[in-house]
Amino acid sequence: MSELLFYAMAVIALLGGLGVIFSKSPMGSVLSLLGSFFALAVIYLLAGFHFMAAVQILVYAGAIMVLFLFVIMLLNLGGMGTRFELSAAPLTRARSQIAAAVAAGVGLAGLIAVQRASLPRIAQGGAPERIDDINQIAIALFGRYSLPFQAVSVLLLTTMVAVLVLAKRRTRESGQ
Amino acid sequence: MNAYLEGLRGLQPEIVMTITALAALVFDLLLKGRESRRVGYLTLAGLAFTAWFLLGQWGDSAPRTVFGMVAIDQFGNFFKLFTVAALAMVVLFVMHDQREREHGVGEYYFLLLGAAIGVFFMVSTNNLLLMVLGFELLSLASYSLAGFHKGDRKSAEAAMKYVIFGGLATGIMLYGMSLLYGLTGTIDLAKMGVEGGGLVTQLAKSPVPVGIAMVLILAGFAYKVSVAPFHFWTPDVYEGAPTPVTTFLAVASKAAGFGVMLRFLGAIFLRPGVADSVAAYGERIGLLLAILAAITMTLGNFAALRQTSLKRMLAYSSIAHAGYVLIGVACMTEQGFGAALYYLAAYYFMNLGAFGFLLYFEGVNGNDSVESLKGMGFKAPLISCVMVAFLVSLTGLPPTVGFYGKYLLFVEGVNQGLYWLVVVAALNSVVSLFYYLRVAKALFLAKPAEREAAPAPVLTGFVTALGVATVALGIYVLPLVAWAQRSLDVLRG
Repeated sequence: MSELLFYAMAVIALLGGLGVIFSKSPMGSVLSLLGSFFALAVIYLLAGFHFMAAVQILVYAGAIMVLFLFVIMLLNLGGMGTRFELSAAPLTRARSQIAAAVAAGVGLAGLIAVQRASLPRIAQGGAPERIDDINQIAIALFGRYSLPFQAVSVLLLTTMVAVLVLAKRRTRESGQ
Repeated sequence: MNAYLEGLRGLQPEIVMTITALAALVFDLLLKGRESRRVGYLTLAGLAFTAWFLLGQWGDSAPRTVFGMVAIDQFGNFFKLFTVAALAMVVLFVMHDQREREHGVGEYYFLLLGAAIGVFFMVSTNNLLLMVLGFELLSLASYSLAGFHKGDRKSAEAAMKYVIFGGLATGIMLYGMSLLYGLTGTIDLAKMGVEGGGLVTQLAKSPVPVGIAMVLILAGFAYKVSVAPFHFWTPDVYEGAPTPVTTFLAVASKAAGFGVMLRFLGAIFLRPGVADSVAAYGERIGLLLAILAAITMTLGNFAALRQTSLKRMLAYSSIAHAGYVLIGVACMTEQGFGAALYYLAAYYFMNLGAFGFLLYFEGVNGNDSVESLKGMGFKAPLISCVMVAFLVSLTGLPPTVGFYGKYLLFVEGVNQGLYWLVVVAALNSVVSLFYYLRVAKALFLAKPAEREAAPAPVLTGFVTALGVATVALGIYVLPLVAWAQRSLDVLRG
């Protein structure tokens, strides 16, 4: 049963991924991505990572995708007939084929690496100990990994300023 | 004292930097965008404090690890001190460039400081997690800095290209790191290669998975230091970005990329107690790097020959120099790494100076073509003479710091049997002579120009100081060599 569910979800995730690329409208891309994320969340659940599954839904599907939708609507790309104007962009067909080849190559390399590695087998029915216990995660986050946790805050602040610098209108120029 | 406070003591430079960055941001808000130069002074003061704390750690005897992941050692100290110095130079460039002053809002300084904090973290950790965080911090700040001149099409294009290339390269690197974590079961580099570590088990079964992970990770590093075939972004981004930012990217960011590469390889393959199979595997990685080094320097030098813009020429020259440094890395020995460190130190001096010269003449001529420099050597004799010293050093001729750097690299290359690579590098140096001397020729071997060059005493002063250092350290070489050697404690501890 769970095996069947896994394959079903894997197919949905892949189809969602393809939908992101091939969808004609930006809205369609976003919705495909959403479907892909939900399927992934179910796969996490099957593997016994309940917390990961919940976070996947909350953060990705909940927050990030909503942000995407907002941006698309605000920029008025959302009209169902709107198509990406790829032809005008430097993303020519040949270049996107190269990019696809690189991505596929890297993915394939990863598969080969995992397949030939000596990895311990995990017993059927999820991880042996509960590695996604929220308590444990919190203790690790504020204990062993407190420094990277704080470094992330610097990273986020810098990114926020960086984006604002690029995005805000130039109001100060004339005053100087 | 308890461990937490002890840890905070070790992180003093990082903490001071972060406080400075926040202060710069708030100060700019209070000034409401007027007089953004004052934020520059604040930044310089913060950098001076950071340097003071770094110098305090300079004398520290034993390398130690705080918070379980930040290594306080001389290796990190080496890169941090140079980063602070380079950043101070860049801040001075920003403050003394008319065009930057027009755009110069306070966020400029905040982003520069943010990038430097990233450098601090990435060069001083054996932990993959913190390494990636530092790497990203540097990258994200750099993307925005490259596009700082928003009205300028080239600057916008530079930022866009940098983001796309950078995002791809970081993604590939992260993928490789996750593979490495899966293979070894740890994110602590120091534990991977030793007897009983995850790499030993994996190599016993098959070398392929480790190889794939390593190649993917090194691709990310290679992008940061613009080693072929991951160099495509370099000329466009360097050309489009504001010149002070280009200086930061070409000097601090590139050296930091090498810092993280040296630490990564050193921590896995060269530390004492590393298993034989892992050490042998390291030499194969070295061979791969040697091939990349040869391709990179040849490509960089031959492309530089054709450039008419000084900025683009320096961009290709920086690619070529990445190739030279890679010789030292490819040796995979302590001496090789020492030579690479020495060369990076030399690289700081000569490239900072060359970019300072570029900045000055961009202000004078309004463009950066080599053509427009014709005869200007007589109008601004001091800075032009100093530039010739930088050019000589970049070519690798005595009596400059660049010469001794190349000498060390070549000697270690020969010792490790990489004769072919040393021959390629030597031939490349000859090629580079042509395009470096073209600048000197334009400056002095033409009719004196009609135009006047407005003096910029502060900028000229700092560039001259760098020039003096370039020559003096080329004659009196021992202190810098000793420092580079001392900084290799990362391989011993």
